Amino acid sequence: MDTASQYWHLIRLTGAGDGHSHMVPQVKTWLQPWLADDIKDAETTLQQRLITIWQANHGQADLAQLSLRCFISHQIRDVCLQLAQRFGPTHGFSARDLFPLVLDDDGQLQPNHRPFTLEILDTYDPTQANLGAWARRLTQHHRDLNQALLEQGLYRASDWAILNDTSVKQLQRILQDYHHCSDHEISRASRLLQQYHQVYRRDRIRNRQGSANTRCQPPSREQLQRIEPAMAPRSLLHRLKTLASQLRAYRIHVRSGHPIPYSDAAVDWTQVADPRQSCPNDDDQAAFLAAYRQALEQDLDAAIADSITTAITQLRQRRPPKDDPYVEGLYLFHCQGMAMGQLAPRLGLSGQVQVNRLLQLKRLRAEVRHRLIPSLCQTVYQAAQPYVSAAQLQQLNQTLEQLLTQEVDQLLDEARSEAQIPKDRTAQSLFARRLCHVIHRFLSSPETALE
Amino acid sequence: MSRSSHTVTMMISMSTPVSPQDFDIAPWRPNTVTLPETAVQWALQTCQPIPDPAQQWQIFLQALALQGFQQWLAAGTLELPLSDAGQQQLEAGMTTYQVEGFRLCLVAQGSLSDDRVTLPAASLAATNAHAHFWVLLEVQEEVNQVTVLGSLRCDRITAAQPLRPNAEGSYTVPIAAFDTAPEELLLYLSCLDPAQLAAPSLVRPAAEDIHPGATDRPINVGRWLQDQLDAMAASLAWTLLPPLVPTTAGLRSPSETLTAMLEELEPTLPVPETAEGPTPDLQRFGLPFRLYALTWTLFESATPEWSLLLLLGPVDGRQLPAGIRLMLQDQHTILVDQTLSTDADATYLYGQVIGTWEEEFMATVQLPSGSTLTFPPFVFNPAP
Repeated sequence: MDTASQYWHLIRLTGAGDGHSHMVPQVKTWLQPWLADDIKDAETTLQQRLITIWQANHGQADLAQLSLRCFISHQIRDVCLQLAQRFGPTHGFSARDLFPLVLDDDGQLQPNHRPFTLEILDTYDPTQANLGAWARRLTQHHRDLNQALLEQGLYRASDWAILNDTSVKQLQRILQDYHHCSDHEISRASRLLQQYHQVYRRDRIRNRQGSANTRCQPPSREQLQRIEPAMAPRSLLHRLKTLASQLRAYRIHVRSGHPIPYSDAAVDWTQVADPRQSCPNDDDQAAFLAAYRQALEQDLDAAIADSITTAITQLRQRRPPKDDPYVEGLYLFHCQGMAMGQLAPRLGLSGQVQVNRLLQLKRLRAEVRHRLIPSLCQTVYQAAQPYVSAAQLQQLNQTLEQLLTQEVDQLLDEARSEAQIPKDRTAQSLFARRLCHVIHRFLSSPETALE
Repeated sequence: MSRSSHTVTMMISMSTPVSPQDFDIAPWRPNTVTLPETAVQWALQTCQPIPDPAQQWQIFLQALALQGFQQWLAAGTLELPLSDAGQQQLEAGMTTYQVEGFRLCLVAQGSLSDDRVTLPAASLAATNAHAHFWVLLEVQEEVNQVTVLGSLRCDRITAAQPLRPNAEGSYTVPIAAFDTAPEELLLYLSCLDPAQLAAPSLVRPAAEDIHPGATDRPINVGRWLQDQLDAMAASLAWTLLPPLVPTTAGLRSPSETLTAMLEELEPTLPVPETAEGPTPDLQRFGLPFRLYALTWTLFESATPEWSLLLLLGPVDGRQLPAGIRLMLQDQHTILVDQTLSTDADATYLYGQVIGTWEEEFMATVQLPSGSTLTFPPFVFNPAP
């Protein structure tokens, strides 16, 4: 669909929960004469004309408003689609799950309730942003939408949370270095943030006591008055939001650069050299590896069994108990090679994130490793001597990490595994092989055990 | 849907597509802990008594981080108990805890996600109280979530880049310096011996001397008694305090703060009303401290003597960092050597020396970072 027609097509929620484009004939007829004009930059002109008519609040204001609501509904749908596209597959939701939360405009010229599209339009200030950006921004801030995302393990900080957690010092640095603001702007903003902190933080700590609702609400009229009595609440709110969006821009910049301190990304094992070849002190490393392999199998079994036992004890205390799905999940993943996404329905969970949350595979591997190393160090005490400095412990850790992770990664990605098998095949499948050996004693359901 | 029969070829440039970066959404991570309501209420209780809102919020985040870290440790299958992490410790601004003989400093980052964080001065103390690991935690206060992001080993603190201490002895480090994954931290805690981590001699390469004035010319305190600043003190932009005034509530002038400190000292150290002295402006070196110098004469003994009293206190709203040290010496020996300890109730340091009119004294302030502040020698010569 061409973009101009967004002004007379409304995205409406269908009975099936889809967002469907729905032509509004009266708006189309009304707009028709303008579109015949051959106007350069027609798109901005069209939007501006509509806003002017709507704001003048006479004559055809209703039609102009409905046309703008049509345009806004497209922005809302785009945000839902993109959220679903980006996070849906891993977090277990689709755009259809989001539409009912935000698409509530039935296209009436004078709607009975205040649809979200109108809420966006009413709060829009043409001097501050363009309407499309404003609509997308408010959609991303939509309370129910954020709540639904949170339930899928996706959190979006509110403006107020960001302002709460920013010190004046940080603000000054960010405005100066990142936004290149003038000294005057910086001191004005610092003062504003300080006043906001004085009122909002204290109220927040007080209000949170005994209250279950945790999301930060926009400051109330009364709070705004206390923050800056000399300013109209509406413009003060606007200034605070602008400040928050400046901080958010910096936050996005930081997160896209190096979002978290260490990289959580999967290791490309083709790039990891064989430790016995890459290690500077080859002989030591080889001697150590030889010594620990002898002890490895029995110690590994014990470490896996201990870790699983402890996890089961903890999961049994959950309401409802989660120990059975846990063991079954480990079994299906490691021994059957089932993909994470497929596991969710089998375990009665809603999505892959929930499976990750339950199985905590990374932590399981880490903890097996941590149980393993002390016992191995003991068994092969002499050989381990050179490895116990902090730097070398890390190296040893990486060696073990590699050995233990290989099989798991292989199961995760069968297609890539062929190219990734390093030379050392004997140690490769050890973790999964021993886990599958050990886990049988924990399996409660006979049919799973038989599979 | 059917296309409009009217062909319109406008491009709506205003509706630029949403870039992926516009979604600054933090996905749940394997090391994210959701705090139960009891943990949150504990954090709220803990920060409640703190009057200063900026500090109160910081303690609130710290308390949440602490609860989150405890839950994270407990969620694993290894037994790694965190030492007593009580309310009082947090209220005192303490961020360092013991796990298996390791000292861990919890660094809480809020919703903002900065690219750098500040490590508290106490965690870098020169004594054997320094942290073995700094653990970076992201606290999403709104949704009661704490994520263990990574940690920084004490012997790796200068690996990324040489660091310079901040005025209060803290260090600001880039987030990228936190190069130890949470799982690796568990490895260290369960397998490494704390003694094997290099002490923070590496931590303080940036110690330096700050001279609030050239040291070759002395400061003549004798002139102070005549309500005059000697040329040296004046050249250092020291200002003579107005007469001591009674203290009032709220923000205090330097003179009022000094009076309050002297009132506290009164039983052990009487200061005559004739005492005079200036206060050097240390804030122009970026230090949030005030040094008060007071002098008076003593004629009780056969040879007339002079007394120099130095008080080192914070500027309003700040605290002296733990580990800060005040030293006074003559040509032969150190006469006063005081260090502010972490658990002290004191909020300032002081020292008094007495000597004949010919004697001179040197004063040095050492910051927790190891940097020193050396003043020109103090001499007493009342002659104009």
